[in-house]
Parts: sequence; C-alpha cells; structure tokens
Amino acid sequence: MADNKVLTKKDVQKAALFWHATSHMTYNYQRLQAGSMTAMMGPLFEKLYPNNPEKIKEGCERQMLYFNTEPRWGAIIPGMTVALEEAYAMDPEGGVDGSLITEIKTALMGPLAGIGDTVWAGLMKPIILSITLAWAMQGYVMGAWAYWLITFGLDMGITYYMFMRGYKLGTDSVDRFLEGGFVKTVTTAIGIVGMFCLGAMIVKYVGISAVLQIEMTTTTLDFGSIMNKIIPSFLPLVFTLLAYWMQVKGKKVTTVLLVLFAIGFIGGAIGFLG
Amino acid sequence: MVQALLMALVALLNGIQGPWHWYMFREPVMAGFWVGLIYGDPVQGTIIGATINVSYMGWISAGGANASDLYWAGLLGTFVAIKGGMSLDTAVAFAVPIGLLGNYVHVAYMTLASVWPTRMDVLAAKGEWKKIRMIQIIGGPSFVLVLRALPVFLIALYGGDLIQTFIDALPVWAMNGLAATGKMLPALGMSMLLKFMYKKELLPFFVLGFAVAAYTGLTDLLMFACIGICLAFILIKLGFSREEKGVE
Repeated sequence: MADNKVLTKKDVQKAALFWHATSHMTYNYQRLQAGSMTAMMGPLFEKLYPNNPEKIKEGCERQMLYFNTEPRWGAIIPGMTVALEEAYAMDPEGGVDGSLITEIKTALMGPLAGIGDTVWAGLMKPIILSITLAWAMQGYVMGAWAYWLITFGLDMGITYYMFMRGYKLGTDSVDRFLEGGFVKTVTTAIGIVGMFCLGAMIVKYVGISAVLQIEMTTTTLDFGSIMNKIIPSFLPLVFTLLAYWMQVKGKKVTTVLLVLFAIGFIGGAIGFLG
Repeated sequence: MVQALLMALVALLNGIQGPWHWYMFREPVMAGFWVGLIYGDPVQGTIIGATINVSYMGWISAGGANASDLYWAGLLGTFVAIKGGMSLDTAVAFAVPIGLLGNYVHVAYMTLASVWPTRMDVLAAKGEWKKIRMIQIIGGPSFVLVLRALPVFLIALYGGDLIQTFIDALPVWAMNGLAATGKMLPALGMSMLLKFMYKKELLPFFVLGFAVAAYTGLTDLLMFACIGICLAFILIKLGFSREEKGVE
C-alpha cells in the first residue's frame, strides 16, 4: 500500500476535520452518520477515480450504507475507511474490495461505540463537568467557558488523532489498538479517578436530607441530625443507589426520573424531606 | 421581541448536532450562560445552568436515543427560572420535566431527518456527492430551525408572564415539594454515572471517595481528581489493571 498513495496528508486532514464537524449534523434514525461518511469521501473519490464517474457512484452508494459509531474514539473507522478506499482504488485486485470495506466498518462500529461512549460520555466528560460545574455554581462564568475549552479541545484532539491513526494503520489499525492494552489501561485509570470523584460528588451535589422534626415533651426529635450522626449524607447515597438499582433492573431513565420526582415532591410537600 | 429572537438563535445553535455546538450551546451550563446574557444576568444564568447540569452528569445519547432532553432542560429551564424568579432547587425541579418534553422534540427530529438519507440515496446513485454534502450540512439544521428554534421563540415571546403568574399562584406545600425534588434529582445524574463506571474492582474507590467527602466535609472536586489521578498512577504501576485482566 505504501507506494500506492495518491491522497496527500492534507486530503486526509481535510477529511478528518470534515468528519469532526459534520458527523452528526443530519443525524437521523434511518442511517445515522452515513451521510457524513459519503460527503467526506466525495472529494477523495474525485481524486481516486479521475474521469471515472461509474466508480464514484459505486463508492457513494457503498458509503451511504448504515453507519454509526462514537464520533471521537470511533474516528479511527472513517480514517481507516479512507485508507481502505484508497487501497481499493489503487489496486482493485489486491485483496481489498467494496464489500470488505463495508464488512470492516460494520464489524468495528459497535465495539468502538461501546468503548468510546464509556470513555468519553461515562468518564472524561463527567470528570471535567464535576470540576468546572463547581466553579460555575459559585458564580464564576469562567467555569462554564473552561468546560467548553477543555471538552472542545479534547473532542477535536481525540477525533483528529484517532482519524489520522486509523488512516496510517489501515486494516491492522483497530486490532492493534484494541489488543495493545492501551484501551484497558486508559479505561482502568479513568475508572479509578471517576469512581473516586463520583463518591465525593454524591456528597457535594445531591442535597436531599431529612427535615422531619417531632416535638416531644422534653426534647425535639430531629431526624436529619440523627441520621447525619450515623452516616453523613446517608439519604443522597440511598437515593443514588436506588436510582442505580432501578436502571440495573432495566427500568428506563424516564421511569427512574419520575419515581425520584414523586418521592421528592411528596416528601417535600408533607415536610419529611428538604 | 429582540430577546425572543435571540432566544430562537440560541435554540437553533443549541439544537444543531456537532462538537462545534454541543459544548458551547447544548450543555446546560453554557445554555444557561447564553440565556442569562440575553436577559441581562449571565452570572445568574450560569449558576442556574450549572445547577441543572448536575442532574445530567451521566447523560448520553447512544445511537440517537435520548434519555431525557439535555437541550431544552438547560435552555428553557434557565429561561423559566429567570422569568419566574425561582430558587435554584425549584429551577431544577422545573427543568427536568421540560427535558422530558424536549425529548419528544428530539424523537420528532430524528424521525423527520430520516427523509434525508432517502434523498441522498438517489443522489449517490448519480454520484452527486456535492449535493449530499449540502444536505448533510443544512438538512438537519433546517429541521432544528422548525422544531426547536420556532417553539422557543414563541415561548420566549409569550411565556414569560405566564410563568410568573403560575409560580406566584403555587401554594407553599407545592413549593416545598418542588424544592425537595430539586435536591433529589441530582441523584439521577449520579446514578447514570455509576451505571456507566461500575466495575466490581473499582467499588472501593467509590466508597473511599464517598467516605472522605461525607466524614470530612471536603468536597473540592479538583482535590479529589488530583488524589484519584495519583491513586490510578500508583496502582497501575503496581499492576492493578494487569491483575484485573487475569480475573476475567
């Protein structure tokens, strides 16, 4: 493949930036990110198949097939697609063909979506949020902008890096990436930081507590302070675990939301919680 | 009128999908900032947006399925809170149901936008990728304009006074209920995160974080992040993740 390249580094960079900006722009239930893939490949097809409109049509139709992955870590797939399409165009008899491209994309998009979502939406973004939101809640507008700067920078950096890596490594890329232990180490490291912070976040952000007080003849029974003496932040922990348990049991987030809403509203209205 | 138009503009930018918009306009803390800016108090807007944001900490849209709509919870949640002069806890209790409403808008968008690939297929068969690119860039946003910007414009134009009247009419017990709900709902965000991150071997770190914060009262998360990073670094050096591989 190495001596068979017509695409310059600039072409690939442009494709990477196009993917970054438009992967979700016309997101829809029918084909999800396929439109962005096709539009991204368009100019590259033009270069790979000069004066061969038949091949361009074929390529566009191939890329219009269902595609959906996590756009940042998963950017390794569109990057690899560019490399595969290039290899196919340069040497149609050389092992890579149209159906192989589709098969590889389809095989990888699921696992990478899983890894990508866990690392990005489940770990990286919440950790950034947990720190910057604390600033914003104290009235520092810069906290909101710090959130934007960090997440946008990371988003673009990861997408670009993974895309270029996907292109460079071509077919081997994802195997090597997944087997290298890199993902495992990163996920474990962020998992430790995430779980540690999450424990503290429950104390910081979930403010629900018992406010019920019962007037006795000699003293006032204050449930909130009694509970706080046994385990501080006990109710926040209990309700978080309840919500977690419901989700593990397969309840939809909407259902969990309504249950929490109902408990909070009734508890607050009758003076138990506050 | 000008404010309503600006709200519509922010709603458009808030609804368009992509990393250029997600972080600057969609995340409730930033949506709150913009709404605050439009109504003359960006600091209050940021505080409200950030408070709402906590309940959406573990929010994710996998394969286009929204759990609850982050977009409108931040945008309209802040609007309602500012217009109704609410406390922060009450604002959260209002924002989350608005998010549920916004969820229908999201489903409508994802369904309607499904007409575009059909058109793209026709173009692909002709090899007209430039037109596909055009649709990819303006197709989705044009629906956002109709489904998100237009309703927000109308709400911003006519809704402000209604909200005020409604809030003033609420009895004390209902306000207490809503305030408690607002303190309760962040548990949802935490539970979504827990579901994401939970691994048996990571459980001690969760307990450790909770215990330290609960018993010492220290809740500066930057401090927890620093300690967490050091813990992770040391443990991985000691072979924590290798050991984990052996267990599987």
